[in-house]
Amino acid sequence: MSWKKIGPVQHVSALLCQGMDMSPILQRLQSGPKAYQDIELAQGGNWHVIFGKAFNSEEILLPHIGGAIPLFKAFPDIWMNVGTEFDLSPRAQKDYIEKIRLDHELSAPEIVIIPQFSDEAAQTLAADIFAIEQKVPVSQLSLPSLS
Amino acid sequence: MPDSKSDTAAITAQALNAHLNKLDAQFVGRRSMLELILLGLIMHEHVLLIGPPGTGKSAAVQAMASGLKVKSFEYLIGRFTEPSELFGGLDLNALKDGQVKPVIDNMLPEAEIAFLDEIFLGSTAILNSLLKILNERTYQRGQFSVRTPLMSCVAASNHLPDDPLLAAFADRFLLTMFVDPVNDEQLLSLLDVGWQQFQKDNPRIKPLPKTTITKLHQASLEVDLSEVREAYAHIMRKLRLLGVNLSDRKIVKGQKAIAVAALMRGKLVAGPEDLWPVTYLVQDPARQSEARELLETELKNTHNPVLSTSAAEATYGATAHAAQLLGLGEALIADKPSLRTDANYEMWLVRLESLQTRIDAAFEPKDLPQGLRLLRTSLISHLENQDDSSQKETSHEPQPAIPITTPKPNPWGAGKT
Repeated sequence: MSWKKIGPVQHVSALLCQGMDMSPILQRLQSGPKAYQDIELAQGGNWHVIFGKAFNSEEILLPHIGGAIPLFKAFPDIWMNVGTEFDLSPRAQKDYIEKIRLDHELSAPEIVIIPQFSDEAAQTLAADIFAIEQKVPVSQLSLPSLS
Repeated sequence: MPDSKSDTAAITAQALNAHLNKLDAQFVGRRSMLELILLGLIMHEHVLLIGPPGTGKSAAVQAMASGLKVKSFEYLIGRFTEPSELFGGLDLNALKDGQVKPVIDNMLPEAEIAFLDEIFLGSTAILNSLLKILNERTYQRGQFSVRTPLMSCVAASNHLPDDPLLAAFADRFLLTMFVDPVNDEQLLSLLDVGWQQFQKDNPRIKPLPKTTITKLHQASLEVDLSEVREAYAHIMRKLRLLGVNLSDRKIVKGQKAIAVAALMRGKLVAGPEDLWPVTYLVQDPARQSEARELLETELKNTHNPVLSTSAAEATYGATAHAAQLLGLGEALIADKPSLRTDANYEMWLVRLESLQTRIDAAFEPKDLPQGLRLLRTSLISHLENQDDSSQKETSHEPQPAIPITTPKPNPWGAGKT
């Protein structure tokens, strides 16, 4: 199996918003504290990723968004949802990431992997993959681009 | 009165927390090491740091020593280090009179905190003299004997010794921490802080008086351990089942760590929150890791607002995470700017919200540990009060019903979805 469930104890450093109306969220971020205007967003079909901004070595600034999937940085170029990890040896993990990139022709600098577990399964081979092509600071976004 | 003593302990613990925060700002990912050194100092026990070179072990001890008004001594031991380099050379005038008397001024026998790097490279003569200093706080050379004021010796090495004799020596260090290079997530912060230190020296931190430590040490010896003694004995039995055989000496002295942990919570009666230092009694990296897992139930109530990171690292999985979040949250709440007009107030609210995000990512509402549940309620209360007040403050101005849609170039380009 490629991924497994673990305790959700990783440090949340990004949020995946899937199928959510982003307009009120972005409005809140843009009109809210200055710290939120510096954080970056990436978008795809019906999803957006909000990347946290490091405040110090222990804290990453992120808004609280109900329904968003919390992500952690599993590798410098890989994000996964908290509570999951690779079910492979560390050496095999890097090879497997290369294989995923080749199989799916992913040239994006960063990707998000959300393993999909069936019922009570603790391991899985299935996952949704989101390619992060570009990140843009909240302050530089206009709402129509998020519709 | 127990209450006033407890209040005093709480106030001192707060001051120590603020002091630790200042020291920690000079490092990245080394809070737990600083906390463990402080724990050793208050206990008047010794700490062993095992890890590769360049991981900030020496810098952490230097920072701790310079942050206290105490006499310190630091030495990198090599295979050819002579005892006189640590304990002082012989007084030649006394020798002429037939007396063996070393000159110990500013040497290890006069130190209140000592840092000895690569300790296991020391010769038998050095280790024998050290043993007496560590155990009996006495330096002896021939007929010469002097009481040493040593509060704590912090020693470092790349790895634990295989030699059983050296292992017995290592056992004199009550607490052991295995130090790793900073993790990938902290690399950027490490580079940033390191670069800033090239540009300017660390801000000078006002040293704490030695009496702060000595008073806490005295107070720790008065902490009531009766409520946790059975739980502590149970943990020791469980560790033995794992094959971890701690010496009787270590088990007895381990109680001092529990007492200090209670004191750092501002309590004079130790509770299940204070048992976490037992993990650091285990002097083997794999066994320490197994102990965390094995003792998950016994250490599930772990909590310490001052020694928050070392307490979190002493426990396993969700327990550790809860302890860490709780420590972070309590420090954050205590750090609330006094005025809403304060420049840091807005950032403080953002940090509260970020912490709520972390708590909700890790725990379902039904699984929230009690302490974290209360913290979460407090965070939400602060955030909602802010929302209420900002609405009141701006209620006379109509809020835009539609988000601002000033035309801007689409940063993702046309057609990108």
